[in-house]
Amino acid sequence: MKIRLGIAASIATACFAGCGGGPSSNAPGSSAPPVPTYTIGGTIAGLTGSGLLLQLNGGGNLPVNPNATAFTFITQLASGAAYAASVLTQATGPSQTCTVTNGSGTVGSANVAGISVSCTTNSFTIGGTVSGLTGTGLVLQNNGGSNLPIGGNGAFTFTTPILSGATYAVTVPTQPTGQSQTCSVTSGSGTVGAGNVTNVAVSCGDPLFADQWHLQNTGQAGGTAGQDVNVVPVWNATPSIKGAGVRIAVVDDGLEIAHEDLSANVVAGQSHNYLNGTADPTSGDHGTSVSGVAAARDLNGLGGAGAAPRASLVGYNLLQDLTSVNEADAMTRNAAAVFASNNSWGAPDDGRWNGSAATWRSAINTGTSTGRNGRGTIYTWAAGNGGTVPDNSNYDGQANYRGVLAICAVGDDGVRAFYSERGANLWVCTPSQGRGGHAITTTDRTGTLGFNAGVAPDYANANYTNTFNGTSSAAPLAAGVIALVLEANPNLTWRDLRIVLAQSARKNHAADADWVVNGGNFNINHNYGFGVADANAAVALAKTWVNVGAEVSFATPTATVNAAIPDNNATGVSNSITVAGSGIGKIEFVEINFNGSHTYVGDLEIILIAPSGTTSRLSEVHACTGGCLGVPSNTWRFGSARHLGEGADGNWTLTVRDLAPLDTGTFTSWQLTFYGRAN
Amino acid sequence: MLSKTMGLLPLLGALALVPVAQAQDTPSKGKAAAALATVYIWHDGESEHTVWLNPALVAEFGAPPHKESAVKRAHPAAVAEPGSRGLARIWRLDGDGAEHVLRQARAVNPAGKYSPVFSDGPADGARKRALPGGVIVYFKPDWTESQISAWTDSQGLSIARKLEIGPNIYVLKTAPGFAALETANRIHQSGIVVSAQPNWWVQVTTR
Repeated sequence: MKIRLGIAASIATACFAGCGGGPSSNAPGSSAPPVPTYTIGGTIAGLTGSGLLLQLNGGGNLPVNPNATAFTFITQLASGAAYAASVLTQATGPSQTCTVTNGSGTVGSANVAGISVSCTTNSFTIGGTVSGLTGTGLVLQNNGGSNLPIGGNGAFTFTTPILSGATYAVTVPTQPTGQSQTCSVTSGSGTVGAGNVTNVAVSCGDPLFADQWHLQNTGQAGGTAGQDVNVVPVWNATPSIKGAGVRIAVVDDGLEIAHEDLSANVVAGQSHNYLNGTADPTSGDHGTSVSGVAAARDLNGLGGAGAAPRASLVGYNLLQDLTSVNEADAMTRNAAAVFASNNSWGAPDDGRWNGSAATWRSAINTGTSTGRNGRGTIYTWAAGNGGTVPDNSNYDGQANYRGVLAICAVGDDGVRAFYSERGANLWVCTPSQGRGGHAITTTDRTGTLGFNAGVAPDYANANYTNTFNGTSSAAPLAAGVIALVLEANPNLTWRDLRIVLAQSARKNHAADADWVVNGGNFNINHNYGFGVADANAAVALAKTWVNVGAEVSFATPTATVNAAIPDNNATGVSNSITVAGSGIGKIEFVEINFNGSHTYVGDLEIILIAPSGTTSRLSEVHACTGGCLGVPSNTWRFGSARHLGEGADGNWTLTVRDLAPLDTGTFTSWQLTFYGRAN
Repeated sequence: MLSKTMGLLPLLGALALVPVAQAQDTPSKGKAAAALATVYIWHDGESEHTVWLNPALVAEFGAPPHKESAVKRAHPAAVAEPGSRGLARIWRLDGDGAEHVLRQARAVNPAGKYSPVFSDGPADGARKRALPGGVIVYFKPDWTESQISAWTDSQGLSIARKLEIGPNIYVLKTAPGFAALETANRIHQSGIVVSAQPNWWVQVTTR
């Protein structure tokens, strides 16, 4: 195509130089007298575009170069012949409209040179669409002027057209007020072509919010409408609650503090990098996605939103150097200001009994007692992804500790995610498992540093991903819900917050046979804890909540058993402890210290039965990745949330069964510690 | 099973760390074979814990990924374990030569930080941990700072920092590797403090 145009242009140029100037004869050697012919041409004004094609008598196409001022058709006509010049193809780049005057007539006895072609450059309008606007006062500009007030969502068009070939640049000189929105422009600049510009997108909402079914599940991803954490009514309430004033520490492999959808919520200078001691923990990829689930900024025209889109964020990239010392540091760093600490990590989900360090437990105790100026930092902990091992969250000495909330995961249908671990220690679940490539939409490391390489079915914009999942995603979603609750009632202590979450949780997957009502009148389930966190219900409850009384703890003496556990025997060994005078009318958590030994702990089922009859299945027969041989300590601490609200006094029974052949062991002793309040 | 090994724990004093004799651990029914045999004891608060030495692994701390690893130079066949991140790299050797490779790595770069690698179970796949250096000591709550300082000096140790996770919890400096475990056990067993434990690097995973 380029070659043909070049030849045509050369021909036209040659004709300008040598085709005009007088009559010419027909073919040489003819005996008939030559019939004189005459050239047909004229002048051109204003031609700057390319591709103009003139036509003579419906043929004789003549390409005309930009900036030409004259033209002559190659075809010559005899005297008396009619001529009619016209425009076959208009010029483009810039788009022009060329018109012909004096373009027709009859050839006389001289060349025709009076045809005029006049070209003018076309103008086009600049416009697009505004979306997500809820505030007022938004003004758009084009090329630094042409102010255009925007009254609402929908199409807009600047009144001043722009010449084809000129540039345009749409900006937002005045952001809307009232809803604290930040509108951003995409496809806002370029060069005007041959038509109106209609694709400028001004987004004042969160363009990916429609994909965030975990925040508002309408069934858009094939799930069940309503199976979400119900944050939208809280955001839209008057006054709106979005986590303002609540700080969330993301303890992970890093946090990209300059990410476009996180930076507005990041507290400057308060993060920590364990690699170099600076306040910039930008590293890894996991923590940036975790952060977005909790607190990606809303109403900025970028990405989606976090559950608490106006909460503050700090990042501690502990996983880059996870030592006992750094672990303790990360749990307590600036604890006075940290409302919630999210931890989407833990021991390998391999089915083994992986304990926690005393220093870590000391740090958690410090955080709950001194954090948030004495009300206690709330620790959300991913319950574990070993659901198919099957691992159990109670084999994780961090997730089963009383100072943390073990967060499990459900799918977009409200049913347990296949990877989510069971456990008597589970507190609440949140959604994280999608279907058909629609997992959790959240922030991703800018560019291709994260999970998304910009390849479908993930987003073309690699700053975001729709593939995040696991209890890693469930935990920060709970942290976001907690931020909303703590904005609604910042006076809640860490213990009150836990009870509020439990009491307001939604009983999901009602058909699951594991649901029971415990002696404290709480629905409880080894798959789901107290159910799925419901932000709207939790906030409503928090607003009228009266803090519970002082914490009381009671530790029983150690009960010695020293009995062999019958191999492959459903009866097992049972032992009871009678609790009296504990002073605990309402349990908040129970720690069970089991001392024993076994050559393959995966053979063991361990069940605690409360005086109320409520059971806590602490260990279940399972495999371990690589085998369940050996444990670091013969004393194992389990945790149970399942006795919330029950009284501590009465007979507690621990039954230990070996339900698989060959390996054997001993039930040596056990002990209980209750945490709760008088009533 | 791994029986209680407290009675087998050597009194360490200032002597070299001695591995605890492996108790009868006879894996049966073919579920998995115990791959690791040499065990050590450490104290996590009041609780005694066992770790299994993995002779096929070594840990290297603080070597940025873009710099040549001393372990890799000492043992070119070493392969980084999946999940190595940040400051810690766990190298898998093509044999059980950890002790030899650690010596060679120290020769290549004496300033580097290296450690044997332990597991929380006798299986190779159990959670791994290593010793980047340092001991965490819970001093008795009624000790004054000057008492702590004087005692530390008397032991030829120095304080790295105080941990604000309880009364009188300090991090003392030690060399990486066995020196940290040995020092922690020696302090713990002295009975002078509430407890002492090594500053462990521990394997974790994102979820």
